[in-house]
Amino acid sequence: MNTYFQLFTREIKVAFKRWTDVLTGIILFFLIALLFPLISDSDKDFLLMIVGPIMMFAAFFASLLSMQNMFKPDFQNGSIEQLLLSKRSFVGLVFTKIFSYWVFTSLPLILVSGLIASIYFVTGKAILIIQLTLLLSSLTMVYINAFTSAITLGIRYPGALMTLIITPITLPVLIFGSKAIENSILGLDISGPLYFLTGMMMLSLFLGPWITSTALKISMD
Amino acid sequence: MNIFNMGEYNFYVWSSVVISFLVLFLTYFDALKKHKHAMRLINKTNVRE
Amino acid sequence: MNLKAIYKYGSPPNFYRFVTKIEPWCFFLGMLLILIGSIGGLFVAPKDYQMGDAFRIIYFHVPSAYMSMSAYAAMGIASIIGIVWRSNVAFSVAKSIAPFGALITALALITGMLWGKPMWGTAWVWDARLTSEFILLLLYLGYIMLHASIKEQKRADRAASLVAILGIINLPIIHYSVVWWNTLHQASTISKIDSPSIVGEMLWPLLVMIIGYMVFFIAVICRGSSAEILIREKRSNWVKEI
Repeated sequence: MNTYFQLFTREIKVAFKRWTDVLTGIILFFLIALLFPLISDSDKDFLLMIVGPIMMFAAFFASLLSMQNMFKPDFQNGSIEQLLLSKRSFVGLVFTKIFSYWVFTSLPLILVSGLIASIYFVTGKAILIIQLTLLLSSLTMVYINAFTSAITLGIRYPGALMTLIITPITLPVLIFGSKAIENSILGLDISGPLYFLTGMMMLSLFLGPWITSTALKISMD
Repeated sequence: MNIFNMGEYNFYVWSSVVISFLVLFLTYFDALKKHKHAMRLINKTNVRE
Repeated sequence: MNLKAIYKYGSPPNFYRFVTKIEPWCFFLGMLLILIGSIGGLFVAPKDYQMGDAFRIIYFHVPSAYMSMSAYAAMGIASIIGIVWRSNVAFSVAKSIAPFGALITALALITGMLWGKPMWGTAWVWDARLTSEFILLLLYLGYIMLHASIKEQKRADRAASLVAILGIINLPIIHYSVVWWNTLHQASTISKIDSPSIVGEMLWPLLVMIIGYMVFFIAVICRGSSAEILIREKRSNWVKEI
């Protein structure tokens, strides 16, 4: 248990040193989400209609573009090999690493999203639902992103390739997430989409680290 | 010539036919080209040794 | 007895010999079946009372859609065999299925659009079946691109196989999407359990086409995987004797 906690704190410390990388993701999310009210005619009904898809897209895109920072620097300075050599379970270490990445990139994003939602004229309980949806979906997406960045580790400009691999797997998350947000704004039942999101989150929490560690081992040869 | 006329859906039916055949042949010729390329490669390797 | 056959054909020279032998037969048989099916479907089968002549697109759309899924299943199984038994033959087969699969999926989408425009008034709609078939295309493209981007061959094989295996989950989604959700796409015409919801004179060209596409697929894969095996094993003795 101690090792995992040490890894977690080490990742957080490193994140503070590389705060520009962390900020990129959050700023991207902010900009994308702000762009749409700015360039459209900011009609209240229109904005309420698009806030669901926009939020999911912004979160997806922001995590996509900052994905490379997950494993690349550690791959280059050899720390992943150190993790492989340790006595602890590699899968568990990968899980902790990805979880700490989520903590310092997505957690601030979720807090900020409440502010952005109010720009879209969202009120009351729906703002909390948006944050909950983003919490569940960002946790899911971060493990999918980890797998994709692990499998494309040696490649020099993997951007387009990662998008190609990630889109099929992430699409259900995005669809159910935006459905949940839409339903909460219209006052309809949100339990359906939220159950699906939670299910997918559980799936990616359990399978993600295992698949990512397999991909890392393949890339490390 | 009358049986070749598919009524108001003429364009759609025949374009699907044409494009299906095109794609099928494309897949075969792609595999054929790879095979020829492989043959040329191993002839080159064997001639040299 | 069956296992012995697998081990025998699992070795590259035996595989090559077997595949080169059956390929011309499959090619001509496939072409013949497709020709018969096309003529049967386009001219012999009677007009549909609802859709008129437009329903004839079914003879091109259904086989390609069916092939797009079968090919992916084959690619997934070949990838699993390749990873578990570290078989070069299996990886060659998987790699040669990918371009065929991508083209066939694109064909299924295009013929579907050509059928949708006169039928539903719209060429495309983001319902469950069409979206998941589009995702299938992305999976094929991702496999091809990933394999091409990694320079080291063994690593490329295993990484791409991982992606292929993950994508297998998409197949039941595509297949059951018309059952689970209310989609614009119609339900299955042919099912293993019930009798088909299509009359005999319209049915036989469809079956002939599906079988013809499958046999043609085998011919293409024979060609492609034999080429791939040759390239991989170019330094070994049995290749020198060709």
